[in-house]
Amino acid sequence: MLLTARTRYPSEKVNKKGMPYEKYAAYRNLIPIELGQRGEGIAPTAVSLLWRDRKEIMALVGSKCKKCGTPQYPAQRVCVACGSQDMEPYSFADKTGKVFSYTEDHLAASMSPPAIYGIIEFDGGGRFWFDVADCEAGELRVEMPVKMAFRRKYADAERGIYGYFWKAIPEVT
Amino acid sequence: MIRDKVAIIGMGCTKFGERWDCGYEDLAVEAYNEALKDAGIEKEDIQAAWLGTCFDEGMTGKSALPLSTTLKLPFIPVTRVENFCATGSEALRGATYAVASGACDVALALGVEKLKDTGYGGLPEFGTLLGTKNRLVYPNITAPGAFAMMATRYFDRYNLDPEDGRKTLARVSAKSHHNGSLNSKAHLRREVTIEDVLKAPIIAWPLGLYDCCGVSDGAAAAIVVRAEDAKKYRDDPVYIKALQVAASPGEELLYKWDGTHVETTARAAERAYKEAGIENPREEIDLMEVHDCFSITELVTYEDLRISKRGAASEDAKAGFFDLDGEIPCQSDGGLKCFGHPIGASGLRMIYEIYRQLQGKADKRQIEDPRVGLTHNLGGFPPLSVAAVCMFGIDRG
Ligand SMILES: [Zn+2]
Repeated sequence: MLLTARTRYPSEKVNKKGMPYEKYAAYRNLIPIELGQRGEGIAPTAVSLLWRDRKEIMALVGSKCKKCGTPQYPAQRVCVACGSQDMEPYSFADKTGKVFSYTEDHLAASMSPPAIYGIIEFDGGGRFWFDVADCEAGELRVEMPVKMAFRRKYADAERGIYGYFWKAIPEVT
Repeated sequence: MIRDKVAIIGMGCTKFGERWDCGYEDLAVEAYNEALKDAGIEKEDIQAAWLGTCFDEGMTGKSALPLSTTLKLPFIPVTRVENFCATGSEALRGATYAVASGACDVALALGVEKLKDTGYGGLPEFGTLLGTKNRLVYPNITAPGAFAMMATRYFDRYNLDPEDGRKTLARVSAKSHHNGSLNSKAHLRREVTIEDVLKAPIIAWPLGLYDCCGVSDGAAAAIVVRAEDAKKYRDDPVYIKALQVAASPGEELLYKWDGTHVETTARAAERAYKEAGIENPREEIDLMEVHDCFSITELVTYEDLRISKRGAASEDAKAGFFDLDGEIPCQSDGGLKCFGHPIGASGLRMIYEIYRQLQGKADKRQIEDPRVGLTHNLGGFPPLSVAAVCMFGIDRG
């Protein structure tokens, strides 16, 4: 059974294939899942850190070097390209990008294995690794175009904290 | 330049594996006893020690104490070092620089790791290891996943379809399993065919079970003195020719990297070759132990060390260049592939194999008259890593 109705980042087209029901049910806590010992422990969320780096984490703001113009995520104190310390904020949330490389990881603790993640190269510069969402094993390819979307990253049910971050959404054809 | 200033006069290495009946202390003592006996010295002769360990804290925490209390070292200076998978090599670097400087005459480097108590496969969860911020922004990256991303990119760049690419990688693993089958200290001692490798379950695409090294318990140790004193202890000391470490400045992941090599390895290797006086590594090196945490790592390392040309490592691997009877045998002891990877011990375990080979004491795996050997460690993820490249020789230059 496939569910096709999904809440998406407003500008995106809905992935026509929809989502496998098992995955949907796991994320909705409708079926018990076994994360394995590797996924058991969740360290407390450092709220002070989350507040300090709120732009970086919540808004995907990195830095751009004022001297050489290189965009970089996460924000750097010292430019990775020229060594300058003169940096300004730079938003990656609205940038498109491409899959530089990727994997489907069966070892990583995941709500819906395999965990799919990859290194994303942003158009205009900047590169980092992100979870890849809205795609299934076997669909990703190097150089596939992506957009970024704000999604849930972890659930700490014990402490009632739900962490959000940005994930790459590939244009799977 | 450290070349020919310091020599190894004794080494020890435990059997690696699932040592359920042994704790951290048992492993450390086992390696230490063999090293002491091999060097023909007493505990009182050791004037300083370096401990390399990453995970198990031996009930005493991140300090020298796990080693000094286990061995009951008599109030000598002991330092704990930690540098991901380069930890064991880092311990030897500390001990070597200490005797070279004249600060002491005899020093011990010991790497030990007890990993199997986690109760699950693979390395312990990185979450806490990488700091508090990691979980907020990093994907849940595992070691196989991080290296698998290099394989995906490598296949794409060199137009290898996944089947061809995986076959090349399988050749690398099968070769090491053969060598490991000849080594009583290795954890995995069975021959594995290319077919077996290809049929195994996928761990992180495109890497399957046999593309990944295991996780095991183990320890290894070395005793060093200044080169001019070495012959007082034994006739066949092994001279340190180069010890180089390179750490990522962060540019590879964030800015500039082709995704198909490891820059830290290349940088450390160039400095090591200069230090050891090597001009053409493909001609001048007799054997190597490289960091085969994953088959793809070993493949790109051939290129990063300038043994194979860029993109040509698979040709060399297929031609048997790195086999036990090839031009430059690689992983003659079975490598991480067969030993598993107790982080703090691996660097010294590799050096142990080079040491024994150079002395002509490598049993069924003995290579004909080797003079120069190389070890390589890689810690962290390919674009965010620490690499150590060390070189050793049986002749004092
Ligand atoms: Zn700059």
